[in-house]
Amino acid sequence: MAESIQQILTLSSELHNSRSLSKNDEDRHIYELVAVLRRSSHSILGEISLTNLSASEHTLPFLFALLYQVDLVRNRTGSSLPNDIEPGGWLWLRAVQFLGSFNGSQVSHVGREWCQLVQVFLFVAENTSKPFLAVRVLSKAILRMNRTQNTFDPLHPGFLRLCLLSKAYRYAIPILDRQISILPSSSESRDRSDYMPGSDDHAADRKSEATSTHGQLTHKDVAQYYLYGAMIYMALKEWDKAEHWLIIVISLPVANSVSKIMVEAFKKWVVVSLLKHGKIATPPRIISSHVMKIYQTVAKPYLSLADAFEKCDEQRLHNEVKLGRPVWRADLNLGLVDQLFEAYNLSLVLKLGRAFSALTTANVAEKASSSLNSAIRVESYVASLAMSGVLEARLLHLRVGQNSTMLRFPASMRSCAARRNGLRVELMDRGQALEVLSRGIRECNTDLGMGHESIDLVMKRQGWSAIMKNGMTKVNADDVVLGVEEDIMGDVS
Amino acid sequence: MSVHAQDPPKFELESYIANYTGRTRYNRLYVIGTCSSYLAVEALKAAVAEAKSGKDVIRYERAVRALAEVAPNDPEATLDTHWVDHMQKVVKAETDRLEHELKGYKNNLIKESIRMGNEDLGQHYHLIGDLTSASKAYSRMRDYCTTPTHIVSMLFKIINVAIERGDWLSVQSNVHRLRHLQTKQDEQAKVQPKLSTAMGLSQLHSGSYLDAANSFLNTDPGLGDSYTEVLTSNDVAVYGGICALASMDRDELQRRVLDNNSFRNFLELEPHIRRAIAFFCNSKFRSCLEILEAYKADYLLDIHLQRHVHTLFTRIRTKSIQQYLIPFSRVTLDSMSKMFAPGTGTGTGTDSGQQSPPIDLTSPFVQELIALIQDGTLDARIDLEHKVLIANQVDLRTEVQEAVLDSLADYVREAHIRMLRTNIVRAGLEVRVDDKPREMRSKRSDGHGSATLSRGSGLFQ
Amino acid sequence: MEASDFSQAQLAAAISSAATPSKLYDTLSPYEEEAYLLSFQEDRPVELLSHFYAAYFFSHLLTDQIYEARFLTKRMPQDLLHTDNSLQNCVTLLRAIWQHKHESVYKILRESPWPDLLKPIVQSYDTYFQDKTLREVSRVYEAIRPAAAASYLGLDPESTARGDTAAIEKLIALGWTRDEQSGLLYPKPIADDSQKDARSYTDLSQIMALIGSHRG
Repeated sequence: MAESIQQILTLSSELHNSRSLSKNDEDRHIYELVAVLRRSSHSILGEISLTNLSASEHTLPFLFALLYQVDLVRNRTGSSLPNDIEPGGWLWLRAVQFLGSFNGSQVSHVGREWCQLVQVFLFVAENTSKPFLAVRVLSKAILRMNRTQNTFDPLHPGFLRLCLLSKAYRYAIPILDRQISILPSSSESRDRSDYMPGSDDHAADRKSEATSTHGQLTHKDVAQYYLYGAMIYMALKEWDKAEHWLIIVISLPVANSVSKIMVEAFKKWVVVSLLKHGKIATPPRIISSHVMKIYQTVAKPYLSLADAFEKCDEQRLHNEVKLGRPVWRADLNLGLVDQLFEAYNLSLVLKLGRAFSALTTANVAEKASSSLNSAIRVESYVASLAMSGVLEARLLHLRVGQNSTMLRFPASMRSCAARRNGLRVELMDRGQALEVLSRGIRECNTDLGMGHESIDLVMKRQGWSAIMKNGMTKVNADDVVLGVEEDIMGDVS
Repeated sequence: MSVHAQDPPKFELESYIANYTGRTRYNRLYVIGTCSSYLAVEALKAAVAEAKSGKDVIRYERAVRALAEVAPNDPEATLDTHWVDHMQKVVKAETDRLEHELKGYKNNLIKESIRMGNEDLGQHYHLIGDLTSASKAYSRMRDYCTTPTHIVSMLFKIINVAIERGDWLSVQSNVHRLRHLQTKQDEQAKVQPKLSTAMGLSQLHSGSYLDAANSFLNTDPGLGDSYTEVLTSNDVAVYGGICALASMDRDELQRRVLDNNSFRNFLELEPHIRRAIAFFCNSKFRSCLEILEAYKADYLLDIHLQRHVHTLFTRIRTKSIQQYLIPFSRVTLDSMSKMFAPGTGTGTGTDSGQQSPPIDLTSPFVQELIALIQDGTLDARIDLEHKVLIANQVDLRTEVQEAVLDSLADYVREAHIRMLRTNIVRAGLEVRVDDKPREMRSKRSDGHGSATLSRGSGLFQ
Repeated sequence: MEASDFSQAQLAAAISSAATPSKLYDTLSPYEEEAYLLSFQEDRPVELLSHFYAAYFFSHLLTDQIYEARFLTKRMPQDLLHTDNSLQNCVTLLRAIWQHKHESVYKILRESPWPDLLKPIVQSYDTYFQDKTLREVSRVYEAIRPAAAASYLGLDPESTARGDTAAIEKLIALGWTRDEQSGLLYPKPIADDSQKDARSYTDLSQIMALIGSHRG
């Protein structure tokens, strides 16, 4: 069969203008085009001119031609990083153009090629030390690629890594904020790949397709993704989310051994927990005791640091921080640990707020840490906390020409209406989270119930308990949604 | 034992010790001698004399040594080596004789003789201060007891030794054993008061003050002076009263202590305890605390109470403060400190109400309040601006709403983790020692931890 | 990156035409990659880069993204950051904001030699910062010494303390009161209803209706 560019472009145009096509027809068209493109000889792909082609209109031909050109250049120069693909090179610019405007639903049918392209992109950005150049483009591209799905993609960790390397954390947020809960399965149930929805005719093809896309997914990718995500939240000081993500890593299911990433996450979790709560939170019960024991042995310095913090032993805290400096540095947690002093001061002030409803800044200076040893320092510190909303406190200058300041911790600063409003907003947020969650649980449940094979598999791997737990969760979810909301409403009325 | 009493006690040593019999006399004298600076010489001299009248060489030596520390020039502070040598020989001979006799009885297999042989041996060991051997010997009687009376007498002997040893677990288990014994009604009535007090002592020592109070309160006034080898009825009144004060609220105190007809008999022996409790019930906390404070030196010299005085007094004080606050939503620190800390700061004129002592953060009473607030005993906050203590107002609605939101958030988090976990297991991605092909890993950048990121720690500064 | 219209003129137009700070931020952020790429060139347009990064930095501040602003200073070409005066001033400003040193913030904003192109944006941040601080001070302080208020709000502390009527009038116009005897100012909290979420009301009323029908 001799295909020509013309034929390819015609097919592609038809697709582009196929608004009236049914979902099935569209899939069939795409499949046809993909088949043609995959069969196409090099000469044909080489003839497609990327300069004149619109990536949004001819998404698929553009992608194949682009990959072909990348291969070509690499083979010609014998280098994996030829000038043309480097940032600023013409192929790089084409790739950026493609990632900025491709048609998501078409690309979702060619997972393998998409992955290839993104991997080239990630590779180039990281190895030319210009990670920033890829971040924004990729962030948008990933969002476009699966707008509604919360499926784990092997490219996710690589992308987060780039965000961390380039310090461009903002671009990671939209991707992090979509709670990922689906992981493409590695074995029998691989055909449930989310890149390949569509008619059943091509099930076999889809299967092989999906396999090649996800073949490389390992437990490290998952752990890395969540650790990187936590680090991004940490950088933005979103301790709540950071803590949750770290907990995900430290409670990952373990077959036989704890991974290095998990240990690192545990260390970070200890510090984050101190920063957030002023003490070590109780670790989730889901972590088995032998795993916990491993953590406790390898993270000794961190735990002893936490002990000093919890016991409000300032001198010891200083010593621990100083002594452990090589450890924190080696673990790249120095900056995190250094924030403990700030958190320590905050927890002292919060503690005072629980014991006093009013006292002077001079009183605080008597009770507080060495870094807050004068009334003036206390005032500026407390004022900054109160002004940024971290602390509910009010200040009252007593006299002109003197430094005496009264510090009040009112029972509640917000009016009743404001508080109610705050509650409403929070309730909405929780409601949304629950909705996302229950959707995930429903999907998960259907999947689990789908075939005996998968159930058998889970049974073999986890014993019955895992399934039982899952079943319970589902039931509880319904209860909570109904029960809780009714309670709250009853109160409001 | 680090208890030390500086102030002179209210009791008179001679008449005090006359109330007791048996080995507890020496023990009490020794405690008073080593803990009171006021009575040291007198008590230790009495202890030396007490020891010398018995057979226990070791306690004699101990008493002499203690006396030598406080009164080195006293003639009694030198060891009577002649007496010691002589007594050691006597004791040795007696021990050998009793052991030998027992062996003989055992060979003859006469139950009653074996029982009595063990009893004699136990008694002997007890007298010479070898408490371990004594309780072993008594325990061996068990298999040879033929009547309930035998068992009762054996168990009491074990309990008495255990009290002296401070083996409170053994006291409790043997008291239980005695209680479950089927005995005659009148026998029971004779045994009950002793059992209750022994139980009370063990509970006092293990720090369960409410249980101790209950045990003492249930003691039958028939106790009289039947148990003077351990304690007197006065002791029951003091121990019971103080434990009750430390562990019961006002209503309970009124109902179960003051209105308790049988315990009233004990309280009449120690009227100040009765007064203290009555003051507490009438919310006259200061008077109550003042009485207790006045008798503190006595209690610090009591062999059983001394180690608990501090804790018990603190509890009573804390409870007074709590009870005092109940009816108020805010109280001036001034009036509180008049009630609970008279004489501290500059507030010497406690009743005049004229001068207001400058209460601030440094005054010990405020420090005490802070500690109480921080450990959660008091649900209030201090306002140093207006010098008042403000009870925290409970906004039940907000609290419930917040609790609901919190548990909702917890639920979402936990469910997310569990769901993820299920999916990970389903996808076969559990963490394991890697069994994936090598080349796949080498393709990925090494290490995999964040440690490979060339990201400085500057991120968080 | 595609459009190579990244120029001094373009930047000026973007700054002057942006209706709101967030629009400005949206306009500027796509240019960052190009600027980044440009910074690796031998003959890089130093002035353009400096202006762009400074403007972009301020657009972060104006949209209250202080952490991001800080990361921006870490992302920019570090050699440029260390040699360029405007960017150095940005870093000093960031530090002052971070440490809540209000006086220094105003000083840097008002006394540093900002290039003409940036002046409007610097000015608008001055206003923004002053407004924000005013709101916070009104919320947090129940009584405040005039000098302290002045230093928070970037007014002249000395003349305010002496009782400069103009400055105090301004505050009194906002509803603050002044106690003649003590000389203290009593701020009036500014109602902040920006958080109102209309959505929550409609949703809640639906749920309430549902419960009502259940009960009936």
